[in-house]
Amino acid sequence: MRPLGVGRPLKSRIWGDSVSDQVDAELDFHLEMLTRELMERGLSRESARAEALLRFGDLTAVNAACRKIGLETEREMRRTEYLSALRQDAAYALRQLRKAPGFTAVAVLTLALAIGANTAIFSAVSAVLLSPLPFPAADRLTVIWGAQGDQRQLLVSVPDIKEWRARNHTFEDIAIVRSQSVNLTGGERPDRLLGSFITADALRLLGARASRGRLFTDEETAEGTGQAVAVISNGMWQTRFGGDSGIVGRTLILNGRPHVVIGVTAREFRDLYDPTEVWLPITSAPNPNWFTRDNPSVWGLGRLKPGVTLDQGQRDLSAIMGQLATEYPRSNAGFDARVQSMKENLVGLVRPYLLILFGFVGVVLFIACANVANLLLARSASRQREMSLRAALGAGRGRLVRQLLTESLILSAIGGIAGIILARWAIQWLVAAVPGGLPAFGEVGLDRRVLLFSTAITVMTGLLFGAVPALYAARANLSDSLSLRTEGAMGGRGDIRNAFVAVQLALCIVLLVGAGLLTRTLAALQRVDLGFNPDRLLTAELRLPAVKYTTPEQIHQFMDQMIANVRAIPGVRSAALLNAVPLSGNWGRTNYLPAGQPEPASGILPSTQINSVSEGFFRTMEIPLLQGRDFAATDRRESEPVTIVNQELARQAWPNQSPIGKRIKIIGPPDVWATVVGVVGNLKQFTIGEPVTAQLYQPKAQVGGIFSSVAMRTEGDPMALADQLRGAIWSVDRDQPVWKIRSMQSLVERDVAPQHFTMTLAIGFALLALLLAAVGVYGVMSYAVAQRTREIGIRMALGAFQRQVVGLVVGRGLRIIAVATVLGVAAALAGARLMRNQLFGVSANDLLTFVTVPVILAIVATLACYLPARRASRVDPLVALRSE
Amino acid sequence: MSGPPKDRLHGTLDALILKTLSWGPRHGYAICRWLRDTSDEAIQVEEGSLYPALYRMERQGWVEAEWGTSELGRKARFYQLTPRGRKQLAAETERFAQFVAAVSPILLPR
Repeated sequence: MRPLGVGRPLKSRIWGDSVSDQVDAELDFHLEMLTRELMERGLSRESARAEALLRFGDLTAVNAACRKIGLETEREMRRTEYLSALRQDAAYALRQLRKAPGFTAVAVLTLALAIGANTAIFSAVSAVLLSPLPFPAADRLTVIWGAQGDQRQLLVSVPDIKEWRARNHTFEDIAIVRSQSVNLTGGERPDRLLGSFITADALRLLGARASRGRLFTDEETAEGTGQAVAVISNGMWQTRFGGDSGIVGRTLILNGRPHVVIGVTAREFRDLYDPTEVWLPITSAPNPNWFTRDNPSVWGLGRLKPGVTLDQGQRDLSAIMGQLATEYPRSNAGFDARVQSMKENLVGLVRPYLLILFGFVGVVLFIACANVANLLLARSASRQREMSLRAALGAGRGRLVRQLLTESLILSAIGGIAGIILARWAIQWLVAAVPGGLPAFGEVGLDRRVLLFSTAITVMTGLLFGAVPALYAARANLSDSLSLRTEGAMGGRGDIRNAFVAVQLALCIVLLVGAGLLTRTLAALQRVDLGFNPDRLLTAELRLPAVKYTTPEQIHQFMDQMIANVRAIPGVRSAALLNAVPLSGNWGRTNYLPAGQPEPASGILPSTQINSVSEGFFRTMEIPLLQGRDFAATDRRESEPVTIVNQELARQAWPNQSPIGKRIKIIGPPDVWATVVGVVGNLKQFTIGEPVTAQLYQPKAQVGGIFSSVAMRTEGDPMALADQLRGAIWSVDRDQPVWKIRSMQSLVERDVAPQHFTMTLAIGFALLALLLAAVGVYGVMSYAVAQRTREIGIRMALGAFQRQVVGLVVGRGLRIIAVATVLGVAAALAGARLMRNQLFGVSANDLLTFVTVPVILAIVATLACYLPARRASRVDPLVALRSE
Repeated sequence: MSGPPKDRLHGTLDALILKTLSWGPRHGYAICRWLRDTSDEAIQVEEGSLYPALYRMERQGWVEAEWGTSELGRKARFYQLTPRGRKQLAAETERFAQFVAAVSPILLPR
């Protein structure tokens, strides 16, 4: 009888025969037998052989047919054999995992948390950083800004962009864009739309299509031939106009001027930034000065020619700006262009934070791997005899390794599946929790790429944490099993386990340091002196329609009456008008020249932030007035121009002199000579992290303008007065929309939201790492104690005190912790440098962080050592000696 | 799969081979000889059909092949019926009996 399941493949392997050899041999045997039969009938050998061949027929064809079927059979048997072995391994592995439910639960939970966190963060990385933008030839799309010195994202003038279009050699097209809110009136109540003023090619560059009507023609958006037409977004058509089928041809009052709707964008089209609701020709600009060279008001949207690099495009435009600086020195001296890839523009701010978090979860995964590897090592030690027995029964080393790797892969697969389930929730939370939303154009979720990633890390994890234990276990040989002591094999294994724990702790230090530095960054940002008091401060914005408020007197009258109404609201302590609310994203910049100082040889004048404010502004904001006086009602349009400067401008312009009474030229248009009447403290205008910068204020009455913000200091919750604020404005003009009614606190929070969010997640991941590492230390020490129960028993029997036993065990742990600390601090120093740019107010090798973290880690790790040590010290010597 | 006539042919050859093997393991040449002798030379199985049929049946798991030593001391490939092959033989025999029962009254009226 042949043993079951040993098929031809095995035999042929033993005999070294291939299928074709076997077919040849078999058919040859047949021919030989036939030949002999014929010879018996009296034929000579030659003619018998010839006759046999003749009878046989087409030998080659039969041979080929048999060979083909034989090969198929062999392949199939191999596959069956392989699959059945795999099934065996898998079934065996599952049985082993079921036998150790505690181990399995800890390992699966560890892996699920790590793989889940990685999947969730990767889904964001994938959607934001890896997915292409949904625009045609998106890799050649660029945004083009003005640049001056370290100012890298300034507006440019329309005439400048026209010169770029005429002179460049590297761009297929450059469109003009300016996003600005638009007043919509004529409905039940005035409203504000997210608007975008463009040339027709802007929508073409973004690949927009119209679902109704059409998009702009070039004539409709060109100076001279511009038309009062509008394209609205699909979203706005649905929500505001209820999908009205007669929308095309309807007239909307936008910024006080009637515009005819000519089209609705396709549903799938999404604009670059905030979801634009209405597109208007650039010629519908709310202010005619948008078209002058000395008043940069727009930015460019360009597509590079195929094969042209960003750098070539940049050099091309820089060269043109150089020409313009000599042609128009007054407006263009020192002014450059900056070409930024669209991708960078959209995700540049988020990328470093995402990568930091991706790095964090990656490290967590490594720690989880080390943890599970250690658990497996501990288990494999207790399975020593099983392995030795299987080896003795003829299982080869490869077979044992395969068996153990199957086990770890099954373990990681279970962990991976659980992790992906966890990630589904985590992603939902992440998408909702990211401040301002992720700049992702596709959906953030478990798409194919994310699932592929999760599968890949799951398999890699399984191999990674399975490899070392499997190789160790497979070293088992007969001598191990004969000496029925497990300690014999433990020396090397103990070392590798200690190494794993040290690596875990070291990586843990890296994460804790990272989280610590981010925490210190947020704390530093929150400690920054804003220069004003953000508590109980309400702000809002409005823009008067230029067609309705045509004269400075009309504007002035509206503003005066409005602020009077606002101040009269019960619960308002004080209120003021201003152009650009700090931290709102609005800000202005201009150049200046103090009287009596020569123009710099370079032609580049000093620059300052500029804001226009009403009297009472500094009081309302609680910005300290250091010298001189506040603006007053007497500073009118017709009176002598005055200005208030901040400490920094005073320091730069008139070092060691009182600036009061000094005259200063504020570069326009038009240029204004103003007298300094006061000095105030510095404040943070654009972002909390900005350095101290020169700031200059003009009285709103002397500057005018249709745009204004309101700031009011309230007695209680500022947001509670939002309706009263609207009412105060509508009581002056029933049709005047007001928007961005926000508390100053919310603006402050928004400013640090990315840091806050990143820090929160980073702390979460670091604590997870700490927990895993602590579990790792505890596990290893418990195991070591269990292994040495006998030794401890002897020591105690010989009179060692409990304290000494604890010291013995903890001492061993402390050595590991010490090594880990050195490694971890070194790695953290390197790691912290990677996130240097995201730090604020704290250096990448901050002493406090680098001292605190190892101390925390040492405390936690020592505690994790102490618990098993204490248990060991309570061992009854008699019990201990009897063990084994 | 081609039409029924070829099936019938295959089926019959398969059944004959399986029947031959039901008496014990044999190599291909012996199967030929046995069929020829038993049928008084009436059935001449062509080698061109026999060997592919054997390989096919091995693939289907009806027979198993094993190298052994032939009566002349040469290495030969012996075929042996498997349990599945035995079942197949029973099914083929049954089908043949039905065929004969159906055809006989027409072709061989008493």
